[in-house]
Amino acid sequence: MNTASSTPAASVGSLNGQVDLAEVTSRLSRGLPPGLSADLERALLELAQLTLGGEDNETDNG
Amino acid sequence: MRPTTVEDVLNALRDLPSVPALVSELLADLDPDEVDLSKLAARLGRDPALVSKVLRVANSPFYGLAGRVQSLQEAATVIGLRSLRSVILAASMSQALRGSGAVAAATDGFWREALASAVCCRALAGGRGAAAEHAFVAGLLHGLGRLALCVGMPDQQAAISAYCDARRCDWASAAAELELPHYAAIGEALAVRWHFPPSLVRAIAQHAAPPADADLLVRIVHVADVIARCNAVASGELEQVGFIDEPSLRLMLSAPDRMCEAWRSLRSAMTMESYL
Repeated sequence: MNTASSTPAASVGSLNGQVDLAEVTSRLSRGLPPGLSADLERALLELAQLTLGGEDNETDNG
Repeated sequence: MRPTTVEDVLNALRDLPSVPALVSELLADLDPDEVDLSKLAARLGRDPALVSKVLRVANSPFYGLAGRVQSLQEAATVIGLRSLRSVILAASMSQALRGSGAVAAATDGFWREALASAVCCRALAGGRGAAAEHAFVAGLLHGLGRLALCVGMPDQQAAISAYCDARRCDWASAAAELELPHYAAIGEALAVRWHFPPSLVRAIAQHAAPPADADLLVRIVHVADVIARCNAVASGELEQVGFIDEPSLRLMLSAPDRMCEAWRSLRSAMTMESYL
């Protein structure tokens, strides 16, 4: 319950359509806490890419 | 003006109803093997609105059974007794703690996020079985303090919302800046007052900053929260992910498939309409 938002009603992670993986990864990379171990940072970024990328592919494949 | 304390929030909660008797019963006995469907059905039968909510959740895309579940018995058959028990708990809590008027809109959003977190926690705990349903309940209720502030001090909640919108920061950071107590502390006080089981009280109290000896449930809720914040940052809704407890994250990353499923389930849950 520590998600974004301002209003509890806000939608977490709604990207409204196509996912720009490079942009998403860049945002997340900038937003991770300083001092986070490199392997954990890499794992989170890979996880984000895998999850969002999978969603994208599903969309692409109809 | 002095900072608002947890006690101030609790004192403002005159309108917050007692936790429903049904919820107390379900929480008092967290062993899902003891669920008695006929007893539950009898209790729920007296509350058609609650039955309707339970069936709506059972028919939601979470379970992939849209439109197929038309009775509690069918729900028990297709989603299992353990899951049905969690669904009843979620529906009962949301009905009792929804608020009214302007507060209702905010609490609706709260329950949507709570259900998403619950689904995420369940995935991190393996997706099925008793431990997964424990995790579902902890995810559902871990933000109880935030709901309490929303219902008891709507002006302060509105101030937090405005602050979050202006700074694109998370709720807890905004509350700290505005000298309001952390929602985990408010939630802990409420959970103790309502005699929640100790494991659930710990999950509510400690998930934001798990101690070194944190139990698995606390770590699961923390990581579900981390995933939600990462997702919000990736979506551009939040600037910074904020605190991550490395031991908890390492533990969850030892099961990457669960992490992946948790992230996906959170996203799908957050983008769908509220079923509570």
